[in-house]
Amino acid sequence: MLVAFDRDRIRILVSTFRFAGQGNVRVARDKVEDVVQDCYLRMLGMLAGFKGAVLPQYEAAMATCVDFECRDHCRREMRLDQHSGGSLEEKVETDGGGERGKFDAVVGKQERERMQAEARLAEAMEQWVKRREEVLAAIGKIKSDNQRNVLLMTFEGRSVAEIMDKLGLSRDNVYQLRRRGLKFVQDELSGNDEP
Amino acid sequence: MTSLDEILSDFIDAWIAGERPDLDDHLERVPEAEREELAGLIRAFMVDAPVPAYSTETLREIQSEPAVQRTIELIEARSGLWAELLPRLRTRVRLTREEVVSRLANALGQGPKEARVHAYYHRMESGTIEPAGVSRRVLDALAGIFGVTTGDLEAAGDFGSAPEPDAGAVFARPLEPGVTYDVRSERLEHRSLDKTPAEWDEVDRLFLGGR
Repeated sequence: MLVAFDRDRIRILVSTFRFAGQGNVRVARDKVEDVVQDCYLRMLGMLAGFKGAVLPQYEAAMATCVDFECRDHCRREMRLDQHSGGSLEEKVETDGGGERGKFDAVVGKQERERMQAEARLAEAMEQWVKRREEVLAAIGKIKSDNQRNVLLMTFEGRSVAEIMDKLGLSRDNVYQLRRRGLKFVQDELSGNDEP
Repeated sequence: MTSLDEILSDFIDAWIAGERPDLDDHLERVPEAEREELAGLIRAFMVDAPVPAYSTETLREIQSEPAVQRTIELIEARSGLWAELLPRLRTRVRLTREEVVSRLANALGQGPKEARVHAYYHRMESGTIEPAGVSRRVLDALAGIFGVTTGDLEAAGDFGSAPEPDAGAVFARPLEPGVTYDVRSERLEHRSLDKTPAEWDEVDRLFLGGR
């Protein structure tokens, strides 16, 4: 049942994935369904090796797998079609003063990070749990009571109409406060995007 | 024109209500210059978005979608994920099965016995081989060919595999080229074989001998 409940969440996470440091590198629209299926496979494989509480394990595995799978997919696509990278054709200077393609530098760096991340799979899953806690902590830092309450109610699953009714705000106010609140959360987490 | 604020909230409310909002439709409702911002805000919401209030009908609809259906089948089949994973990995690196087999046979030092490697690899792709019987050398070689880790392949093979009541009997038969097997009777067939592990050659041991 969890598989069905999270089907849309996985699809949206895949669709909104952006390669770290290369915002224009993402999963192409016509590849999203393939990557979603690969996410499921990766997730099933990962869950096979873990023991523990089912739901937290599932959620952490889901988030970690989506992230890893999207990164791997983008890396493969870049390798198969270097020309689509555009600026990745640029030459960059290496630490030793030599020159190498920017594409190779980006892929190499990301690949090393991925291998390190794979080696720390359990750690990556724990990071995800921590990350969710950080979202709540970030919301707690919002100074405006209305903005904080709108966001908390949003994450609780309250609609605009319910929030308007409960907090006595106008529709436009709720729209605006939701956006600002999510922008705050996004900014809080942006420095902590790596699993 | 509808503002980004409103479209973001439309998406969130539709998500919460279990209406399955279409991301692309929502992104297209804002000017191109604002699409990345909207995508980022929706992603921020997804970090802790509540479980949607799907109706029974909607859940049934989701469960019937191919990606979900296939995953559910894999969970229920409890026979490992290789049958699903290996063909996808092969497609992903744009190799034919013959090309994979050729590389695998060479990597294993079994070039002259490529036909037998082919038959065993076919069993891996069709889910008719016991994953625990496949050696680490084979997994290492395939991991190299597909650009994944050996651990990934091992975990996929192990997923859902039933425990081995008598492993010695399960891995008792080598495969002849061109022979096809009924998936459902595979385990029973293994138990009725007449060739013992002592009679296996190198190719048999690679695919049946375990890790």
